[in-house]
Amino acid sequence: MKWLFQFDRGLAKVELFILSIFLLSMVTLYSLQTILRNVFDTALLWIDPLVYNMLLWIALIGGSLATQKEKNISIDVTTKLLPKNIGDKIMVFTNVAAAIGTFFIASAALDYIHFMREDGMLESDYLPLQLWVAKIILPIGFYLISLRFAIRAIERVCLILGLETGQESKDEKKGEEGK
Amino acid sequence: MTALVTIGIILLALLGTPLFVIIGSSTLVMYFFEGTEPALLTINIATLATKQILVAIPLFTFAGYLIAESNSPHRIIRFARAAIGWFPGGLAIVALLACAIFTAFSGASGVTIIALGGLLYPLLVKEGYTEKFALGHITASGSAGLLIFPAVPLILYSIVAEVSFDQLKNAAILPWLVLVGCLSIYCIIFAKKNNIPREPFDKKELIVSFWGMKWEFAIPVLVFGGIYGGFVTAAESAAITALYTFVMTVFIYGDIKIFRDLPKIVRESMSLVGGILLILGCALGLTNYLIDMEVPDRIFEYMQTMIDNKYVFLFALNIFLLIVGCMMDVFSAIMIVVPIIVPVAAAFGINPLHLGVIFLTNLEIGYSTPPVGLNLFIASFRFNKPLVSVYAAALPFLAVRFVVLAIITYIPWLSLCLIMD
Repeated sequence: MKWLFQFDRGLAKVELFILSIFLLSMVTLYSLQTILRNVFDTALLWIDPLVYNMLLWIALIGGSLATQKEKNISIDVTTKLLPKNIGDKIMVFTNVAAAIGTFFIASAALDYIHFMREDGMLESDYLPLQLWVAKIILPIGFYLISLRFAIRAIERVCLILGLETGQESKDEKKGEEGK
Repeated sequence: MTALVTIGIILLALLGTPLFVIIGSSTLVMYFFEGTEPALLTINIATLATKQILVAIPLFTFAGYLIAESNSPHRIIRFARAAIGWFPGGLAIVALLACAIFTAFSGASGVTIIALGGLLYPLLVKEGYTEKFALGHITASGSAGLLIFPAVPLILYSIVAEVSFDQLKNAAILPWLVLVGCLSIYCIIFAKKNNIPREPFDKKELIVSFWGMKWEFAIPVLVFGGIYGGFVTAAESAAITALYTFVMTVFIYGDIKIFRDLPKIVRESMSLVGGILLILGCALGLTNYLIDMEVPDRIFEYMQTMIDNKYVFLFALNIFLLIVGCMMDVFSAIMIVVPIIVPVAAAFGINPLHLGVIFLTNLEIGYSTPPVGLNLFIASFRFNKPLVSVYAAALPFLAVRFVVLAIITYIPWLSLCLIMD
């Protein structure tokens, strides 16, 4: 089972690389646009739609990385107040439920991409990019997140059974959660 | 069948299933019963890529995390101490302001407790404040930044409630000053009562510490000058701030190393942003559906049978939001509750901008309200103190905040005077 967790960590590195490129490009491009607009009274019209779409990519990749570290926003009152061993079992269950739910959200996104592809619309008049290409991260991202939830569930089961996962212990993870 | 599915979903939410999954799946279930195409949910999520103001969220959060990981907090606090440390309760006020402004940037008060707590807590104790005071003060101060620009919750509320962001940020100015003012008065009274020694005013230290943070000074000028002066939009201000902070922390000070620190900062900050935006995307799908189904109208009709005036409604709202603020983080609370409450409150004659200020003040109190307010857990973890002692430490600060909440809620003028022409 170790290969699964290694794959998970490898995937996170690739995601982080892409995320960093997108974020730094967003900072640079939008700063440039701000200076052009406010100082030189002009603008590069393709920057706005491009940056808005980058936001979508950042949202999905960021969400996937949050899932990898089990840092998604949730109402975790119950698990906080319950003893740890019961909390761990509940998290197996919630991760499985989340994997299924996200799978359906991803499938809805795939339908959307099919519709947009048939439609053949461009993202914007100023950005010569097919709309479905700009939004392709929606199904990809949600399928990745769904997979991540499944991996987390398996990891929790391994931890409960005392099997090796190659991850740092969940207690250390808990410590990081505060951040 | 519908009731069974609803109970199942609520149960999953309470057990800690991530909220975007809960909201997205609930929407899909409702679409299924109505025979609506599931792709409609994705159309709503895709509208995230059409709102300029949303670009501000990752950019400000990134800037906030860069500052948190650099040595800037040390430099800023050194200057602030030199500037107002000689005042009674001065250091406590420095801590309050530092936490508030820091939260406004990083978007999350938990991050403030982690990043500044380690610095401010020992400092307060060293200067003679009791451990209990220091603990409660840092725990509660973390959330004092939700009402000032560029706090992400302020931006989110304007999007979800469909009010002008410009007006909302102005509406929140006076209430924030009242909040910070009352907490400062409490700090002064505490310092005087407990004879906390004051630091002597040192002109040389003031000049040296000022010079030490000369680069940081440009940040408030860029952020507050640009936005409150009306020169740039929130997203534009965010871009310039992020670029400036990046250059400052990486190239000028060299506090942040590109290969050593940057990946962690990108990861931490964008995990938070991703989490928020996923919920927002899914919530847009859900709320559009609820509004189509006229759910807020039905809630209003139902409430009218029990509540007949706006003050009773506001009181009930305060209580309700305190519970929500305890259970949920401020982002999810805004995205889930606001779309339903805004039309109901409007029907009771409450201005949506005033409602926004009440909402955010309430939620920030909820953050440090026992037994489950998020900041209490973070502080307990950060300072290695039992949860019960954090509860006890936070109580006096909560009492001050309740007074402020009452003032803000029942004097709408405070929120509305700066936006009335």
